[in-house]
Amino acid sequence: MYKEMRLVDTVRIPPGKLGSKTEDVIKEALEEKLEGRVDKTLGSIVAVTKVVGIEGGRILAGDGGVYYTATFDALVYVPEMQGITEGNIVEVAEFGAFVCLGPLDGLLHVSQIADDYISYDEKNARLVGKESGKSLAEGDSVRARIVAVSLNEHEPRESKIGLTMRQTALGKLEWLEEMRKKEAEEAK
Amino acid sequence: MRLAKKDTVKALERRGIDAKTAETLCNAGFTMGKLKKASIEDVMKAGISKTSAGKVMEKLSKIDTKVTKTTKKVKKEERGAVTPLLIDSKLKGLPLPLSIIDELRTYLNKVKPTEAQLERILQMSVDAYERARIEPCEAVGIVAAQSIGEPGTQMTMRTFHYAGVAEINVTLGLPRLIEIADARKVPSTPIMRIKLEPEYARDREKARALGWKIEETNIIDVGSIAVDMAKMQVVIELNEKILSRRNITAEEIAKKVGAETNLDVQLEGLKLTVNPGRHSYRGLLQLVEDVKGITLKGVKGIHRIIIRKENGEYVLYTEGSALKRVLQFEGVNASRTKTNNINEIAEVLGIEAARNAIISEAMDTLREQGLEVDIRHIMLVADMVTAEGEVKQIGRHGVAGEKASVLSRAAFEVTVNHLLDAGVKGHVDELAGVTENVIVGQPIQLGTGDVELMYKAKE
Amino acid sequence: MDKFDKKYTRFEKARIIGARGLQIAMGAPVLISTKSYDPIDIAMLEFEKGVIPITVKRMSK
Repeated sequence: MYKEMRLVDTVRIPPGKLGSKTEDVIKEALEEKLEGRVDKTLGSIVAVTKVVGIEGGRILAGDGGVYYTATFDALVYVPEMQGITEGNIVEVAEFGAFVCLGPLDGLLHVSQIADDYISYDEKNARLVGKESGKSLAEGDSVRARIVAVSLNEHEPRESKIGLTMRQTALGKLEWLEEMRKKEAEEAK
Repeated sequence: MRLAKKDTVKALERRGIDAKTAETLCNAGFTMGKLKKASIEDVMKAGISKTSAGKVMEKLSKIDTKVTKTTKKVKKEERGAVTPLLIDSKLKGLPLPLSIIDELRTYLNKVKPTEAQLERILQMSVDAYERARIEPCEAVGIVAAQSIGEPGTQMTMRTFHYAGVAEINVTLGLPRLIEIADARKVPSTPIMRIKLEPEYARDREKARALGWKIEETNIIDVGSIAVDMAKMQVVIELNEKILSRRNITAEEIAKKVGAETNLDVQLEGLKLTVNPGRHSYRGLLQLVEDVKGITLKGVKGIHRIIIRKENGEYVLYTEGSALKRVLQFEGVNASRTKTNNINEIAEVLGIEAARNAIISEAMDTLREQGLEVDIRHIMLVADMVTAEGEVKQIGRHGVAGEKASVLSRAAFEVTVNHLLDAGVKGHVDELAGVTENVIVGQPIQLGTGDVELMYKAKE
Repeated sequence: MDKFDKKYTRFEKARIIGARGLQIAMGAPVLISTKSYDPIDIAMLEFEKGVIPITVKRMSK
């Protein structure tokens, strides 16, 4: 889920940038420091949208930089446990598929795709269900539930988000459409 | 004579009279004093033309008029002297401490300056004060330590010195300074200087009598003690001369001894017999010791008194100190009497008095050795030592040992104990002091390290 | 507080010139026109002219 948050942080402004307007420089520095950063409690910071307040301007001994404490608004992506997300498949591997959730990718393990035996079709780079014949390939849109979150602050790429589609109303969007049609027919 | 002439010539030349005229005048026997009194005619007699004589007179008188002019000016200004009211209002706004303002007020009211002079005096006072003041962030403690420590290396190690007062033994020099810093409960040589009320201070006999009253008198001071083994008695032979000098009678002694020992005491002339009643040899010897310890008269702890005449008044010096008791005697001037026992002062007169005593004792000790240390260094030490209401020592059991920081204490003495203790109790070090920050390698809160800079961009 | 405002202590002066010199050495824009290339000289000139955008924060502990 994306959230807009008001955050406070300290940034260092290098001496070379002291000539420009303080607010702009601070926003720039915040963007450089925080965008793409993953925080365990906050989530993944996508963008610094607006600097609200600036305080300080401390100069520390032995450093030419100036340190400001800035209050700012930021757009943050938070992978919430049990949250439902939609995304496209960006990569298919033997053990499952990676779903792009925005700033982060989630892993849809083979065992979590459907109530079926799923095997990897290496030639077409897709995952196929043995009985149902359902298939999953790169570019497919899916709806899934987040069931595991493990964020790594130091290496955002190493963060792991686990997904599942083995629940009602989850799966590839086409499957869901089919289901709905079938149900509508049965109701008739 | 010739020299005097030369001087006169020079003096005249300085006033703008040409050398030739000056010499002629001198040859005629004129001196500066004579010239000033002389008329033009007198000068002309020395063989000088009327015009140059007139010039000489003009030159000499010009200087005179100048002098009179300035004196007139001063007089005029005197009339324009400022009122005490104006002085008060000017003093009010000055950034000076109260004591200096008070001092200035008394002085200014005495000299009565003009307004311009007043302004100048005040400006110079403020400037002098600013110059003397220490800057914020200055490492005053270190400077004080060094300023007292360096002269300390030049002090004598010799403990005793028969200083000032003839026969009295006083600890001086480094040992005394250490004693002050360590806040010993009792100094190794306690002495008192008892100043007297005017009535006693002028009369030698009265001063002496008061001295005998204060001095501790024991049995041994007034006679000799012997043990009569045959009769199992203690026999005291009193000395009549000493008795009369100390203004005490044999009857009084007999009564006192009787009361103290609870035994039968018989007096025959000057012979005092104490009968212990029990027949034990050891008991008898013990009794001798007990009798020796009885204070017949005076203040316990004042072993000896010496009378000296200082600046026209008699002053009592004592070996031993008992401020509280001594102050209660009639004839003792309580506000001018002092002891070198700082803890006693703290107890009797309070912590502020103790602070002043530390300052004056330390200054006197240093000065006695010919060392001049700025009083402010010692004041700082005295303030640190007394700040918490009791006289603390500087070392491990005082100022240094009570610091809030664990690291600072550990750096001073008994490192392991402090660290272990802090670890067991889970103490936190806030790194607020100097030592701690040196240990962890951060900038310290002193000098440039205590300056916090803020960048204020101009928009 | 007011008493101290008019003047910097020698420590404050040293810190201000030092910090400003470091800033200039690290590329901060210079606020006066001078031919000097020495950052400390420039900082001192700026200090004399009173254009250094740095103030001292004095704590009243």
